[in-house]
Amino acid sequence: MIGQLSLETRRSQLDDLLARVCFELQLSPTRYKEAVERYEAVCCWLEAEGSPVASYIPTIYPQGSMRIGTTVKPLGREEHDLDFVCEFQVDASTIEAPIELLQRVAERLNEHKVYSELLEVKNRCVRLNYANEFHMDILPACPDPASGEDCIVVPDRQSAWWKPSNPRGYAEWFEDRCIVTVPYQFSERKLAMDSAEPIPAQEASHEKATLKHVVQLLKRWRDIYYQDRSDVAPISMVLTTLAAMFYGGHWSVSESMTTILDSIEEAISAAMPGRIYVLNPANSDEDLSERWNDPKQYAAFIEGMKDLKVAWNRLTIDQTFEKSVGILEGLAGEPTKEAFRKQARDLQAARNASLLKSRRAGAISALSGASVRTNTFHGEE
Amino acid sequence: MARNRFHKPPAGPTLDQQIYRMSCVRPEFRMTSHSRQVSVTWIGPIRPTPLSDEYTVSISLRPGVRPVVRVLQPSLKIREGATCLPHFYTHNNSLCLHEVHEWRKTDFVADCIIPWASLWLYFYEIWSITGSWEGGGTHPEKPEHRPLEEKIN
Repeated sequence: MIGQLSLETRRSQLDDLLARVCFELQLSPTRYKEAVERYEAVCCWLEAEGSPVASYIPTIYPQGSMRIGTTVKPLGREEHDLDFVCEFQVDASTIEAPIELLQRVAERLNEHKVYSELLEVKNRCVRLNYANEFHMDILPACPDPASGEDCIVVPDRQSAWWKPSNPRGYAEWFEDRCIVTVPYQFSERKLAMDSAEPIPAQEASHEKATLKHVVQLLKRWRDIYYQDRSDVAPISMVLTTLAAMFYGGHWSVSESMTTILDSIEEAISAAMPGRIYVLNPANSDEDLSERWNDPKQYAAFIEGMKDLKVAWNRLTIDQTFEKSVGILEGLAGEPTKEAFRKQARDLQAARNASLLKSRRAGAISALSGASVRTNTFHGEE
Repeated sequence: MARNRFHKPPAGPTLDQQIYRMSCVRPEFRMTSHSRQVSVTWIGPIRPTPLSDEYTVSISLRPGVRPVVRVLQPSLKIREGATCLPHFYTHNNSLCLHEVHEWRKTDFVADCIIPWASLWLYFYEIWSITGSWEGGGTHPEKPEHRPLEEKIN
């Protein structure tokens, strides 16, 4: 699932662990499938005969992290928050207020035996609470063809009116940014010159996911770092956009994180005494970072970035094992130990398949060195 | 096949051959004591993976006896909640690396014992942070020798 087990360098071992941490954090494949089935079922119910919104021809599609593959389990609970758009083929100007559309969706869901029990009507969306699975937030939307192909309008939190949005356009931009231009084979070969065997290329899906992993790690760090003052925590959209803007196309998660943190720091200095502006790449009129107009919020972001960079740099340089585990736990929390355990489990599988090699100072390798004969740890009863 | 009386079964390496092999394959290990034909001890570093600690390990060999591997530094710790180290001989503080038959008299310390000790140390580190022994082995009924149950997703 995670690709080649690579223990050749500190960086490659870290990358393997980070990928495993992200795997623990994200929506599991089973849950993902359930989520898709659930939103399709909701859509069917909304467009079924007798539904007051059927004539608007609703379509539901994922937006945000569910769409771009950067979901992160919330701190301290199992349920993911998943965001969906329910787009109605109706001119927004013919609807008095967004709340009206929201009410109609809520009414329709209330007529359903199951949905009525799960339903919670929020400020600008309806939420279906699937206990122990996920929360589905469904945001009603109308097309906005005047602004562009995939553009829509959604209810605005503050003005209680519509605001422009483009989740599909954003996802397309993000996927474009995910392309790896510095692949594993070329950059790592130099580091492992002493290796006699060719280094296997990582799987394409693994390469593609580098930026997604960085985003997941940033979001997780944010959840932990700001857990006692979530009001000043940078929003996911800002972190995602910043990471994607500064991603240099490197295959390595740890290397990419270093580059991105360096670039953010440079951007902060360059913008002084002002602040940086993170504009929506799918709609440059939208300042995603408008919360930073509040100096307190911006100061909290700068402070967080500074601390993250210090911790990250400590992690990438030589440390005792205990300290490395401690730093990684500080950044990613509870999945850290699980990541180490899964790495050990894969190493044990490689050992059982007689794939392990031994190098200088007894270093274990799955790639090169002298073969290791099978042994059975024996012990006292 | 009838045994040829001129054919001797392989005797295995002598101590001198073990020492020579060690100096070729594991130059980072130095010999600290050697009494001819009787015993030899090496001390050297083992670092299982780049994120692991570097351990200073001593390996003592006497012909006909299993090699004794001890960790000198950093000292091994029993994790909280456990009563002993996994796969460890407490009577002489050495690592239980293999079953008796797995160490053959034709084997070299440099090729077998060091990689096995490295694996032991790797799984020890994982055990020390997770409480889960992922390295398999005998006496799986002991809590210290057990992996944690697989989480169901």
